[in-house]
Amino acid sequence: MDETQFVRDLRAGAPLPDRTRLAPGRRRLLDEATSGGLMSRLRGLRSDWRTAAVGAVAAMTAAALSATLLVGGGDPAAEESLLSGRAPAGSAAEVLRTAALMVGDDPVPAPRADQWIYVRERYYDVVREEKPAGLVAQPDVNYHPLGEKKYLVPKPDGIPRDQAEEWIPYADQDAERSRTDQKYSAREIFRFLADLPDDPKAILDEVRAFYPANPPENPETPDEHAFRALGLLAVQQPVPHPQGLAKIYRTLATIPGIRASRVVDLTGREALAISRAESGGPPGHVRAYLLRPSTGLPVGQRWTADADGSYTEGEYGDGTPAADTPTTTWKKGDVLVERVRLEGALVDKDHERP
Amino acid sequence: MTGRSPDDQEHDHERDHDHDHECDYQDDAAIVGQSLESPEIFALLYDRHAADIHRYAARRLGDGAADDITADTFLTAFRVRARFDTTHHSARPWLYGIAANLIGKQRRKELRGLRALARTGRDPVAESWVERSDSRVTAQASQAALAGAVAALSGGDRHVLLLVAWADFSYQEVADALSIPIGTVRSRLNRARRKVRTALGDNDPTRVTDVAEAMTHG
Repeated sequence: MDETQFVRDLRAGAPLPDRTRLAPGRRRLLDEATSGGLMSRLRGLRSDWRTAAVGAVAAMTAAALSATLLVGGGDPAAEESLLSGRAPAGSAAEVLRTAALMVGDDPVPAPRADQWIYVRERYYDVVREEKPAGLVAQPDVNYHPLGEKKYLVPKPDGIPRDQAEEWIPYADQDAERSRTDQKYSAREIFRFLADLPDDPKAILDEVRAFYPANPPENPETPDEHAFRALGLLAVQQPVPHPQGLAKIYRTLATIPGIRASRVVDLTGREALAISRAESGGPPGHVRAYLLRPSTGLPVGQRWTADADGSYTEGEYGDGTPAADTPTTTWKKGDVLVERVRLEGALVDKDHERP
Repeated sequence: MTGRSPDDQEHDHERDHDHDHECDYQDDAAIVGQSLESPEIFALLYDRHAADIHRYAARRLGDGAADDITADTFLTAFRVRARFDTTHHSARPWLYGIAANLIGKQRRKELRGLRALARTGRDPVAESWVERSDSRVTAQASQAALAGAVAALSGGDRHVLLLVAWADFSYQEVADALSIPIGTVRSRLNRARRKVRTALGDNDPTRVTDVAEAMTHG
């Protein structure tokens, strides 16, 4: 045997990853291709993606719509008076405690291990849009003939460039076998929520361990970490455990610096934004979790600029300058990125729509 | 001898089969060119090459790091795609070159893994894809010696050797990937192979045959 063959045999047992394993990377690429990728450049979002289970990446923003269908959120008409209306939102803690009451007595869903979670979401990225948070509904999306079938991509004419759908295995085996921190299946997240203790301090300890703090090169304060991790558990879990979600809300209510405000989301619907400024480097932004007033359930995330700013494509990983890209500017208060769920449900098969 | 396992070849077959149904584009260059107008088409390149790059990165840095290396490779490629030389039909060298650059930035991590294998006979990189319950991955003595030799190579020599041995690249493809002359590829590979041979106990380190290219090109 010659020496080259020895080298070939070294670590030859490395496996080829399957599509599920590669799905998050593909998703990041499509996000970049279709929306300019500002999301992935916002501080902390990278770790957000990592928190998503393999194959469950879309759950970051799309999961709560599943919650809408699975949990129900009580009687919307009766709950209008709790969080909806023209009155000021009240304190964030009050909003969260009210939302906890609304969802906490919902029946516990019982998804099967062989089921899939269908999600369809809409997103906005200021880098690829000229108008802030457009409200024009363009529900008709089509498959790109070249892409993997499970991903929707924009029509060639560019409209709409803001929707995607995905199918996520509820009990994703790759995620459950993964030894990498912060990769969880929907089932693992569901069980984590179901097993939460009652004490908010104990909950916070468990959540911080479940979603560890960002690495040193992307630092965050303990309160930022808590807000991020709790919010992810609220928004991300594909099938929410209602009592667990209520506990998350009550713990979120204890985080200093949170604010509540009434907003209109990307779909033109009223939402309550639970927000907290993040102190990281440019672009400075405010992270918000969006709750539907009629149900108290989370429906998405929004990042808002906390200062005037601009973005021009810079150097990339290989040290080379980027292709020509116009500079995008924004004003303080502009929405930088928003993702809202449009539809979601448990289905029995991959690629099945509800 | 290609050095690829039956599983690899089956995977290739599946992907080739998929391609029969999925596109009119015959080569990567067409995809890259079209992606300048329709960016989402670039995902097809990911479908074609991501699995191989992931495996290559896993062999060099470990299973966990391979996720990021693969994703960052394609994000980087997408962002600089306007300068891809579309006279090259395959994007493999270009993509592996970007991946090699990203891997090179984790040189210390790579060396730690190789040196651990050389020193202890345990391969922490291989353990990253083997279940913990399967206990530690132990290597033959020759592999430990080989790991030590690979660790001792310069970064440039190591890139060349591993692109040939692990990615089945021809000399020209290595040259394209690393943007170096083909003569440099030859000299780097010969030097690397000589050091490897010596580490494996050969008593004539000047004896280096040019079998790598022969094997790569049949």
